[in-house]
This record gives sequence, C-alpha cells and structure tokens, in this order.
Amino acid sequence: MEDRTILSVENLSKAFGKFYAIKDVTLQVPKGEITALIGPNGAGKTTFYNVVTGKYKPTTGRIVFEGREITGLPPHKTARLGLGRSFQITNIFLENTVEENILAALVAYHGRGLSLFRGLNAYRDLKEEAHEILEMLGLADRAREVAKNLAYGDKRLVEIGIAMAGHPKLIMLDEPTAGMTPEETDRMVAMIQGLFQETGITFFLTEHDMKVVFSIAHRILVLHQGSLLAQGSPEEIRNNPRVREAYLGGSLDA
Amino acid sequence: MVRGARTIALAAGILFLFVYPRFAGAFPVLLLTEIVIFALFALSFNLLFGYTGLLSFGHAAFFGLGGYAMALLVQHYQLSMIPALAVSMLVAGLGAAIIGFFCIRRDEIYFAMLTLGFGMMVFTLVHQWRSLTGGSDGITGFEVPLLDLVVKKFSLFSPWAFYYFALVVCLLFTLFLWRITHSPFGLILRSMRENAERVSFIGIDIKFYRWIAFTLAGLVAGVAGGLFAMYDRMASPTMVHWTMSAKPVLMAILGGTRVFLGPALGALIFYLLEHFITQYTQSWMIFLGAILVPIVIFFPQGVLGTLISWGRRLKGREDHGG
Amino acid sequence: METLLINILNGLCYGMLLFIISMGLTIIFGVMGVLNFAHGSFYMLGAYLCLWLAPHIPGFWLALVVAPLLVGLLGALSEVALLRPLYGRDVSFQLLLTFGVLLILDDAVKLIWGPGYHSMEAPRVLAGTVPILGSTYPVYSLFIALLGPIIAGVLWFFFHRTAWGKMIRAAAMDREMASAIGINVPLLFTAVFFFGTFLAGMAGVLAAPLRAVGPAMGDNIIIAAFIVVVVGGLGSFLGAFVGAIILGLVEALGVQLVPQLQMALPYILLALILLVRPRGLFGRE
Repeated sequence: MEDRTILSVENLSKAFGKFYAIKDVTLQVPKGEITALIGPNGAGKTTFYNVVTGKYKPTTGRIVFEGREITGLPPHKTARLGLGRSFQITNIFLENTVEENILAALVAYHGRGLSLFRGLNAYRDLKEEAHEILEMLGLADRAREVAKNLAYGDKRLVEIGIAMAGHPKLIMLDEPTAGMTPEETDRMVAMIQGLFQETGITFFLTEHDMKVVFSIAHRILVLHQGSLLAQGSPEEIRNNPRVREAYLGGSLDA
Repeated sequence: MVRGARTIALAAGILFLFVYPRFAGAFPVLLLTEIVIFALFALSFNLLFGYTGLLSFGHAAFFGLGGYAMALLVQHYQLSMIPALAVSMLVAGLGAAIIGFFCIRRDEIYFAMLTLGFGMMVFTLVHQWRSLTGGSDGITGFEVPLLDLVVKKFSLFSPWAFYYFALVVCLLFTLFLWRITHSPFGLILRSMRENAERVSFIGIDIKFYRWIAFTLAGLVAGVAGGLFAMYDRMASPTMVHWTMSAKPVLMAILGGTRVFLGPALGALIFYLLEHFITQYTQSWMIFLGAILVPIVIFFPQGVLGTLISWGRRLKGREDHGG
Repeated sequence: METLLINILNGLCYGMLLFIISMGLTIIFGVMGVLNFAHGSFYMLGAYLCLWLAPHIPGFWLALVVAPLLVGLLGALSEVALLRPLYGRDVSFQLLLTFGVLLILDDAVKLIWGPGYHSMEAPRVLAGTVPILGSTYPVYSLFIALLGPIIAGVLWFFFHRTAWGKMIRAAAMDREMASAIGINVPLLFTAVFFFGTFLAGMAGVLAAPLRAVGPAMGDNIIIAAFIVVVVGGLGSFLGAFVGAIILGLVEALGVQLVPQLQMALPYILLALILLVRPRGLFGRE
C-alpha cells in the first residue's frame, strides 16, 4: 500500500487566528492516477494546496511525499523534490516570452540558475526541451510571443507548462479550468488527459466543474468546511449521501 | 531591421566614445568621463531594479564604499590603479553582501526603505569616522595612481588618459553586466521581477538569488565609485548620501529600465541636460524636474524603451504593408 | 536631569511636527498607494508661505490657515494634472514623478526667496520662555508639543466620526473595496492629496518659527517622515502618531546619550523595526 501512495497527509490543520481553514485532514494520493480534490467554495482547497507545497506552514499534522517528510518545507524545496503546481489565478511571467516562461522552470530544474557567464542561447538542450514542452501544449508557434499577449486559455496552458518543465513526480493543479469558456475547458481536459497518458505523472487537481471531475478523475476526495468529507471512486462519491447533502443535491449530476 | 538599426547605433556610439575625445577639449572630455562612470553606476543599479524588480534607494552606499576604499588605498598604500580598483570593487561587494543579507528579506517599498536605511547608516559612518574618512571634508590630496600594465606604466593624470582608462573599464563591466543579464541566471532574475512567488514554486530560493544580484550590483557600483573618486580627486560623504542614490534611479527610469542600455542613455541625457541648462541658469533642478515630469508621463518605458517600441511598431507596419 | 527633561520636550516637539507631516504622507500612501517624495517640499513651501504671508495678512495665525490651504491647492492641482495619468502604471513612475515635483519646488523656492536661510519670530502670545526645573524653555516649543495631541484628537474625530473620514479610512484599508462600494475614487484621490499636502503645509507653518527656513528643510524632513510611516506601519494613523513620537525622542535623546551615533539612530531604528516587524508597528500583515 505504502509504495502506491505518492503523497500522504496526516491530521493536517491550518488555522488563521481562530479560524481553521483546514481541520484534521488525513488523506492519501495514489501514485500514477488522477486524483481530484473537490468541495464547495471556501472548503479550504487552495489553503490545502498552499500548505502542502510549503507556502503556509501547517498548524499541526504531517505531510509525507514519496516516503519523505516535507512538513513545513518552503516552496523551493518542495518543488525540487518533485512537487509541481499550478495556480488558480494565472500566475506566469507576463512580460517574458512564452518560451522564457518554460525556460525559467527548466533552468531551475536542471540546476543552471547560477550559471552567470554563459549565454542562455548557448543552452541548446534547454531550448530543445522547452520546444518539446510547447509542442506538447500546442503553443510552439507562440514561443516568441510576450506571455501577456496570449489569450486566457493559452496563458493557463503556459501555467501548466511551467509546472511540467520542473519534471514533477506529482503535479498539483489548482482549478485548471477556472474562468474558461466551454471550448477552452474541453481543450484543457484533453490536454490533462493527454499529458497523463504520455508522461504517467500523478495528477492531483482541485476542480469546480463536476463534469470535468467525473470525466477525468480516477479517485475523488471531498473537502467540506476544512475537513475531509469523503473519498472514493467517482461512482462511490456520486452515490454518497453526505456528499450530495453538502452540495445541496443537484450539481453533482452535471 | 530593428536589430540591424540597433547594431549600427551601438557601433556608432562606441566609435564616437573612442574617436571624439581625441579631437575635443578638456571640458567635454571631463564631462564625458563623468557620464561614462555614471552610466556604469546606473547600469549596476538596474541589475536590481529593471532585472530583479528591486528598487534600491541605497545604491550610493556601494558607490561610496568603492570611492572611499579607492581614495584610502591610493593615499595610504600607494597602490597602482588596477589593484586599487580591484580591491575597492571587493570592498564594495563585501559591503553589498552584508547589507544585502538583511535587505533581501523584504520586497517592494519595504526593500526600498531598508536599502535607504542601510545606505544612510553607511553615510553616517563615513561622516562620523573622522580619523579614517576625514568626516564631512572627505579624503582629498592624493595623486591619481599610475596604470601599471607590467610592460609599461602610464600616467592617468591628463583628462584624456583618464577618460580612456575609465571608458575601457566601464565598457568591460558593462559587458560583464550584459553577460549576466543574458545568462540563465539573468532569466531567473527577470522571472523574479515578474512574479517572485511563482519562481519559488519552480524550485528557486528567491532570497539567495536576490542576494547574489544585490552583491553583484554592489560590486559594479564599487567600480564606478572608485573611478569617480579618482576622477573627482576626492571621496566625500555626498558620494554616499541618499540624494546620490536617487541619481541612478532617475537615470534608469529616464532611459528605460527594461532595455539593457536604457540607464546608460539616461545618464547621458541627465548630464547633457545639466550641462546645457546650467549654462543659462543656476537653478537647473527646476528644469530637470520640468523635463522629468513629461518624460515620466509620456515615455512610460523610458526614452530608449519607448524609441525601441516605436521602431518595432514601425517595423510591424512595414511587414504588414509589404 | 534638566537636560534630560529638556531633551524629552525637544523630542516631543519635533515628534509632533513629524506626526503632522507623516500623517499626510501615510494618508496619501494608504489611499492612493503613492509614496510622495515631494511631501517634504510641500512642508517647506508651507514654511516659506508663512514667512511671506505673515507680514502682509496680519499675523501668524491667519497664515496658519491660509498657507496650508494654498499648499493643499497646489497639491490637489499636481495630483490632477500630473499623477492622474500615471495610475495603473508601475509604482516607480509615481515615485519618480513626485521626485520631479520635489526638484521643481526646491529650486522654485530658491528662485523666489533666494538660497539663504531665514528665521522667523514666534507669534507674540507664544514668545519668550518659561522656567522649567531651574532652566528655561521656549513657550512656542511647548505649544507645539501640546498642539500635536490636539491635532491628533481632531484627526481622530475626523476619521472615526465623519462620513468623509470614514470613507478615507475605508479606502486606505482596501482600495479595491472602496471603488466596489461606489466611492468616487478620482475625487477621493484629489481630496486626499489636498488633505495630505494641507497637513504638510500646516506642519511647515508651525515649523517656521522653530527651525531655520531654507531650501534644504524639505529634503531633510522627508526621510524622517518616511521612517516614521514605515516604522509605524504604512497607512496606519496610530502608527504615524507613535512612530513620530518614537523618532522624535530617539533623535533628541540620541544627542545626549550617544552623540556619535545620533545621526545613524533613525536608520538603525528603521532597519531594526523592518527586520523584526516587516509591516511596521501597526501595519497589517
């Protein structure tokens, strides 16, 4: 069982003052699957992500990634261990080109950040790798475009590309389809499925859109008011009465 | 086409810097020396501001440290030019490493205030430590050291000789900065400017990278300061005061912070304005202000940055037309 | 012992001047996000206007009203004409623009009133000294030290009990929310800039009989005011009050206790506070 788990969280809590955004959450994310974390607005999904990736320090609890305790490690350390993430709001390097967005992550991953005296252009291998990633995302022809000029959906893809460039073992996507049109959402879903099949990376995503969740997740975790309400296969979650209650019925059928 | 135009402009500029002074009188050569030194100072500041997104209001601390170190080394130890300049650079770099260690813990306005605070601490240090620094009088009365190139020694006493020396040093360090900004390290710096938090999530310790950038910027500012002390035949507390820190800020924004040579052009504009305006009136600051204000409003990317984006737009139009 | 008391009084007096200046600075920053480099120059302008007006319109007291109004009007005008095109652009541009205004004002003052220093008598009611513990102390300085808390009280009332004050406070806390709840932001910004520079001008008038009136007075005080608002917490009114008193006392007592370090003390204070409490004493995290 242990070797099948990539991320294991035990009794995790995060309090802001007296308010517990996350309360005593214990869960496992299995390796080689797509797991979704769902929950109504304010359920604590983003806070959970921020605690796991090291933006916030947990109030109590343990986080184990690939058999190694990472509780309280800062983001740059969790990232180097193979924990990639994307953000709910577009969080890319807007004034840099699309290629540079990906290259920055590649430079970091390959440990070339402190190379001061060799031109970036001399790093053929990095450029090629960036090109491959952009090709995978379908953005190869936009490589030289300044990122802020991209359409919203494309910016979100760059966001995923930055995370992918870090060669993550586990990639945590925070609402990858937030704010997208139906067409953009379809493209993103296809992209995630394609990346999953091609790379075999474990995906762990939060998502609002139930249609998306039920179409791609192998396993679903439900967070409600900071606590884990249920976990199981999509079928189990769909038929779980407590989950249905938390969602006021209705929307799970979408 | 823009690239071609840029190469031509750059070549013409460098040619001018080398050829013109041979035919010019002492005054323009002195002016040009000061411009070249301040261009380097402004470029070093912009490694932090334009490339890393950190607005330092205490960059004069390292300019001053370089200047004082230079003056002391020349006066007390009779070092020749290059070793003295090298040691001054290291002194300023060490100062930047220490001060930077504290300042990089904060960003935005708080970083600006911390650098201001530490910069003024250095100012009070040189102002009060009279036995070493001469207090408010500064250090004067030293000879400009010889340039010892092993095979031959050169006097840098004449304005022309010193100008060429300063020019070569400044060009070398400009090249050094250019190399850094176009390296993988430079890309990480620019990414931090855009979005520091995101950079930490790709596995970069942003404080460490800021610290390196801060130290490098201090190092180069120290070179500029060392040269300036030799040019001015003096190291004085004004070199360290916050109003001196404001100069590179002004020059960089004037010329354009997102273009590598923007701050250098800013230094040129600044000095030309000062020079021409002071011919007519004592109060040149009022005119500087009056020119600065519209530039800030109408040239959002600085003079050079705006020129280049006009060039791009023109090119875009041609491409569409043709 | 007397020197200690005298220095404490000096510190309080200077602190109260700093408070009035910093208050304007912190309001402008809190509401508009603009760090106004020209704030010290508006202060200086207040002092010069007082110097110039007091003999014409009879007296200091009228100048105390008129000069700050003129300074505030000039402030409002520069906000509308110069700062307004820059909102939404990088903060550094606003900083640079206010720096440009500083350059203009500093030289304009030199052009109009000459580069020398001027001094001014305290108004007759407040002239002279009072005996304190065997030594004497100028009445006017005492007056400033007492006026500070009164002005603080008036400002407190304004910000907590009047509609405009509450609106400014709300906007200083959260700019986006302010526009979301329908506050007319451009008008508010102009009003805030008027009010902030008005306070700077008033501090200038009050300082005129106390300190030498000269072209460098603004450049010297602006850094101190920056330190006050950062130490107190940017945008915090209580912070400006406490920060000003702390800085005033630190400077005045520094003269007596650690004269060699006196000049460095404010900066050491600034650095220490920022390293220990990144958002200042009363700033919000």
